[in-house]
Amino acid sequence: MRYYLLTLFSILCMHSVLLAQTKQLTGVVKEANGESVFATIKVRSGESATNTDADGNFSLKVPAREIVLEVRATGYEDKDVTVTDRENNITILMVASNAELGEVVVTALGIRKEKKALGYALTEVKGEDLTKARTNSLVNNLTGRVAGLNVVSTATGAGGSTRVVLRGNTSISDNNQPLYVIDGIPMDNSNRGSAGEWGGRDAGDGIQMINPDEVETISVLKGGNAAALYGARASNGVILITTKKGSKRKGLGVEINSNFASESAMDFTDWQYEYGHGTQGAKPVDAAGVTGIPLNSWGAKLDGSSVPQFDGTSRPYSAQKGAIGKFYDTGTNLNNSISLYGGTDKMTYNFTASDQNNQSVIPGSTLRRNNFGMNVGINPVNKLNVNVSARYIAERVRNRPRLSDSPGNANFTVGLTPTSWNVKTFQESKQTATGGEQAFSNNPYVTNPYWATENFQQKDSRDRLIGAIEARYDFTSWLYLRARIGTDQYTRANLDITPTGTNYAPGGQIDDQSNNRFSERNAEWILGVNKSLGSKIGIDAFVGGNAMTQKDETVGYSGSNFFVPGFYNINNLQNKNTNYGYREKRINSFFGSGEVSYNRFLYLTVTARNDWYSTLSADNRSILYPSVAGSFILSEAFKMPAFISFAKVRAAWSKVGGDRSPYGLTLPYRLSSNTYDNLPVGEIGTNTIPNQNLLPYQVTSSEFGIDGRFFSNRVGLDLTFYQRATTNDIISSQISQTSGFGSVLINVGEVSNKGVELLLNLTPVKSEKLVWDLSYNMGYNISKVVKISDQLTTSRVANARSLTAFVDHNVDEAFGQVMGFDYKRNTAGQILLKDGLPQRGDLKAYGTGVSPLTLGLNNDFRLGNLNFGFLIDGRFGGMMYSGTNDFGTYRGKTQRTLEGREGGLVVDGIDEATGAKNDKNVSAQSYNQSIGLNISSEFIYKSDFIKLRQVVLGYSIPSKAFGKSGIKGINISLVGRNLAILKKYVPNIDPESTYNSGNGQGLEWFGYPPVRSMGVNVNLKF
Amino acid sequence: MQNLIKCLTVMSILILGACTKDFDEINIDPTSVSTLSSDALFTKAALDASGGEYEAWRNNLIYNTQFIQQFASLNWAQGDKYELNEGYNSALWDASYGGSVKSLVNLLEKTKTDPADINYNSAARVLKAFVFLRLTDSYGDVPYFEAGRGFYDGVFSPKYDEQKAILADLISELEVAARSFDASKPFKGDPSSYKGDVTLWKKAANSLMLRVAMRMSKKDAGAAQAGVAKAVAGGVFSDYTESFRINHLAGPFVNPNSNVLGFFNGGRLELSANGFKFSKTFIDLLKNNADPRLKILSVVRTGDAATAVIGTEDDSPAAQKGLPSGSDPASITDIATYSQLRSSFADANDPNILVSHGQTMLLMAEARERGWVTTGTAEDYFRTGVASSILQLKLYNPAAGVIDDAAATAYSTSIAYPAAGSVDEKMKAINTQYYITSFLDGYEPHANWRRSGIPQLTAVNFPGNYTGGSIPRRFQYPASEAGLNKENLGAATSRLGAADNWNARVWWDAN
Repeated sequence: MRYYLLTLFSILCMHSVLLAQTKQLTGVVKEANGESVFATIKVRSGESATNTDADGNFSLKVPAREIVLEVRATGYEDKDVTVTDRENNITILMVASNAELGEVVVTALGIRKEKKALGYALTEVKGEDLTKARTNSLVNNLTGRVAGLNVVSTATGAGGSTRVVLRGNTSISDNNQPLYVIDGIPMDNSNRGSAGEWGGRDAGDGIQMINPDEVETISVLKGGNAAALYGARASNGVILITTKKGSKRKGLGVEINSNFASESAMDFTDWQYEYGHGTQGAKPVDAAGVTGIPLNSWGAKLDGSSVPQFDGTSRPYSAQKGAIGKFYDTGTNLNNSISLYGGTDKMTYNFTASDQNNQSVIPGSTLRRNNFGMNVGINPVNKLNVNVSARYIAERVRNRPRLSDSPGNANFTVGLTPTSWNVKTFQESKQTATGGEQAFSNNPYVTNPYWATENFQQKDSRDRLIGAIEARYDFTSWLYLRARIGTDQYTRANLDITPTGTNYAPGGQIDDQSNNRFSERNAEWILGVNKSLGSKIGIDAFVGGNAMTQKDETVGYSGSNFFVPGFYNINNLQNKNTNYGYREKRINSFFGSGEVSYNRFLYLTVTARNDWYSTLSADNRSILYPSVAGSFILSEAFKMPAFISFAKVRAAWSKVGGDRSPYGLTLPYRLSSNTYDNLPVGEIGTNTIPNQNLLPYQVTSSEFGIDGRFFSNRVGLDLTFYQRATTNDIISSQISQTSGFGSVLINVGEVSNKGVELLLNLTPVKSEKLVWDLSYNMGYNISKVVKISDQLTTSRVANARSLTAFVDHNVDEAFGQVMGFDYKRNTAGQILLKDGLPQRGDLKAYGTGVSPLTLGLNNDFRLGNLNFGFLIDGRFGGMMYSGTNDFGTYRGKTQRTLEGREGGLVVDGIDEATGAKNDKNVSAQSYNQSIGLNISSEFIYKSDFIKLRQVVLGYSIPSKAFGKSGIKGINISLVGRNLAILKKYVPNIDPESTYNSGNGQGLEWFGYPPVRSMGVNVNLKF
Repeated sequence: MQNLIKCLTVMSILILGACTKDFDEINIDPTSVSTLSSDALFTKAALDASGGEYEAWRNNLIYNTQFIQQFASLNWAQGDKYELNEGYNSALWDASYGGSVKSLVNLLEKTKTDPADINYNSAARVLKAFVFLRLTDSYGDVPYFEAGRGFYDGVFSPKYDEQKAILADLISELEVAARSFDASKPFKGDPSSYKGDVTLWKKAANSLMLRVAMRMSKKDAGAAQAGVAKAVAGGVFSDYTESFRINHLAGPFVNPNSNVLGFFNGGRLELSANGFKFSKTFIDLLKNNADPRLKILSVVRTGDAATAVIGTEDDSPAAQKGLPSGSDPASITDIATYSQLRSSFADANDPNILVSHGQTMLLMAEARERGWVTTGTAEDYFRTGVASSILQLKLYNPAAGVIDDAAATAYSTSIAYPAAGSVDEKMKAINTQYYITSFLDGYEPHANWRRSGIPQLTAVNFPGNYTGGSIPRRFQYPASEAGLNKENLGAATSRLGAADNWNARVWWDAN
């Protein structure tokens, strides 16, 4: 191969291009109405090419003979112009196109292609759709906009993580999220901390750090063909983010965007307010009795009488509603950004700086982020283009809330606040005389919500640099070499403190103080050919290589018991544990791609990539995988009826290989960070059985699609059918702990996904004054776990904190089944009772936690300078276990607990001992607590919803209004996000609530309420 | 152009040629090693075997000590009132199989060939027998022969073995261990009180064997008698100082009980004035027998009810009062006035007594009465056991003067032994003392109560309890096994002959 390359270059060297006599051609590209158009202009015979400036002007050295210019512009139909040898100044008129006829999109490795040439589905989202109604993470703004994209964001405060899945989950236990690539640089999106059943904080992912103001477009590459070039990490799809570049223009361009939003917590609770705090129908009689019982709402009927509460004060025994409204603040989110851009013949530039200041609705939880981005393109000598892009991000987050399990989780206590208590009492009586957390129930592991938000401390800072230098040398008009060195690196400092005086840890703890340093470096080169052979055949091909190195290092400590209370320093700790973590992996790759086109209506692309993984053994580390894709534009090949504006069929097939985490081959032994009597203490350092013989896993995908535009592009239809199968999946499968280990790394997982994606665009009204665009997208994915291992037909992904509900993979069922315990029943299905109470029966699967059907409906109205749009989205077909409803029932807060409060109830069922119909009366508390503890299936609900996700009302002040002031335009928008849930099935909570972005979706446990935001966005251009 | 070509050539050589040369090296985890010395592994395995805070709080303290009414509480009512908590129920299972079983099986595997490792190998057998006796006592048939071997044999769903077979193998393992210890071979890093003294380890193996054998007394007298004979022939403990215990340090490797009952690391506040109380059953038993341990163990605490401040500890016997097990929280308004454990018994560096001389002597007394031991008199064993049981409290950290040697001896000689009484009376005398001396290890008195029926406890029947108002006789199988080890679990539950809950009986607990 090296020989081949050398040969190729030798030929190149010898081939000196003899240029004929040339002349300077100038001109302008514009629309019929005079608006200038940004276009690329290329001499078809390949001698030269250029771009227009901001005013549509261009200047190009061309052969002094009759030539054909190919003029291409995004959003316009392609135009080929014949220029005679006498013309020196021409005007080119472009016709706007809504179809993808001439649309150029960014594809794998940053290569721009005409969309019609693609054999696979690709969806582009414009930057402006991300900046108005802002969310925690810009990927949240993709919700409802991309068919087949499933977005789930963690119910936490500022800076939380989001789970994005394209076309279903491919891996049983590893990452299922797409690869994010920013201007050609893969970005680490790993979550630096998340909550499980035992609690924790969501430490945020990578993508949420990106400033949407810097984004020009987002290309969502769903299929495997993109991955065939990017390698394994892209087997879940690729989200390509292209940032704004400068372009040649007169003077300095300035764009200022300000966005302010007010945030409020949405309250979906519908608790009972008829019975108050207490137990077995009795109200507490004294303060000691209050703190001796749990946060029960199992007391007497609310009667307004004076009843003691935990702080010793007696208050009226009456309904205290609206705990969520009282506890949560009104949050604010202020974003300001400024971009400076422009360019000359020799360089273009874009600098963006922004500041985000988010005060979350969770008291004390804040995020401050500054993003600085730049793109500079230089053309230092002829044929050489150098691009430098760099992004520096400084993020400071305070008090990420604790999630899931009760210790430190404020919302757990807010949710279970007895119906006769005002949540504000927790604030009034937070502390004891000695400054500790005042006990309010019998369980110190339930934390006073104000103690959790005011006394617990957490802060983290992340400084990130994403940058690349790219050089492209055009040897000739058809042969180029591109080389790029890119890096994504960050350091993260974290401090997490449980304060002294906390009931469950009176001595206090430093739960974590650590520094983490992550880096990934990619060196890539591509040698490419882009040439027409004759007038009908075109070739677009390249070969390339990439070397990737990824390192992740953490140094930290934790400890407990502060000698000096409230002084949170390592030297003040009685007990200390140190930790050190390190991971490194490399992937070397060699790849190539070749596209052949015929007469601009038939395209065929073939790719191949070989990877070598450092994480696998020498015998298994190399894998070669191919892809093929074709596109046939019917409307260009054949004469079509008038109503068909555009018609295309496409098909693609690909195979992708991949590896997993490093160090999975051998059994590690580790030493404890502490010694015993000055002796070392060691043990097996993993709960996962290693496997020396791991192979690369493989994902095989195929898709078929049609793309049609009708009635002068007023109707557009894009339909895709796909299927994907993962084989040899490297899974960390949960196994019986009696094996000594909790999981095993094995290479046998098989998952299949098939589905359909539909994008329907309609323009029901298109008049001079009013345009109404309607866009509907739908994705339906059927997943199936085909095989887990030879021994296992089920694999546990996640446990709910109650330890009675789980997410399992079961062979032949859809990915991630929500599991719960049914009632104990006899063969006829009747419920078997014991002493009048239901008993736990079999563990059953109740359906997947990943909604198979996602819908989005987007409406945009433009009336003159006014625009109005709203987005409705929905998810269907998934299930969820709601811990809030389970525990709310156990503690007597749900409506269902009202039955039998007076006089008890006789449960319908068969007495197991006698076989007769049950006639034993039990108290409502006994019954519901028995249900709450044992019958988790009662709390498994459909997670379906329809939401009014976003409304935007905007007004653009026309540039005429500003005369010569230099202002080119002002756009003011009023925006609302998460405005209403139009339909849902689960009571008391948001059906989207989840406490992590891992694979075990479908478990909810007192998550923070969702946030509704309303605000204003002002965009100013000079 | 020439430079570019050079550049490209170098690049392609870099990427293609030097491809994967250092990949093997990169894939070595710099934070771990491929093996460790037997002593370093043994230290951790032994510390694990003595239990951890996770299950000590759940199965030991909350459940077992309250099931058998040594402790009682309003706050941690799950054990006091027999309420099911899935996590508490399964804690011992999860912690043992993922901790001590894994470490011990690994150590046995690693030390099975090299004769220099014989002491680590033998001690691992002893500890593994201790851990599995606890597991099988608690759950019944459990994975044993295939357990912990996921790495070595690739068995991810181990079979559940019948308890009878497990106990038989424990005896044979202890036999092998007792005869294999070799004073001439290395034995470092021993965190037990023996500090590598193989003579004492042999006695521990035999004393534990006596316990295993006696466990079968109700179900399989023949096997019990044979086991007792082997244990006695091998030689059991002869003094309280020989009691088998794991020593802990005040630093990171603390006594798990100190985490849950004490004030170490903030503790879990179970000794705050609102926390864990002595049950009335236990206090009344000590009071009625004028037992000197009342004054040693039991105090009434004053201090901030909700915090870790110890306050003063009033140990006057007259002030001691036990909380009735199963008390309705609404009816108790003076919780701070009930007796609690003297905090020095839950210090971080207090030992965990796994098998004591006192327990061993009491089992000898019973075995002598049953005729399975033929030397000595039951009464002598009994009195030696009682004296040892009091003196063993010196192994903890009580303040000077709390334990009076002379008073202990005096009590052990004055306490009544029904030498001429009925078998039932003798059993009652012996096993009542066994109940008292096992205090702080909830598993053992719960097992011995099931075996002997002593002491006679009155079950409570609080609304919402899981057993229909009877004291639990085992823990149920963890819910996780239903998904991950379904078939083997099914075979085990069908052998139970009853629903898999707390009322089912393990094999040796014959009706």
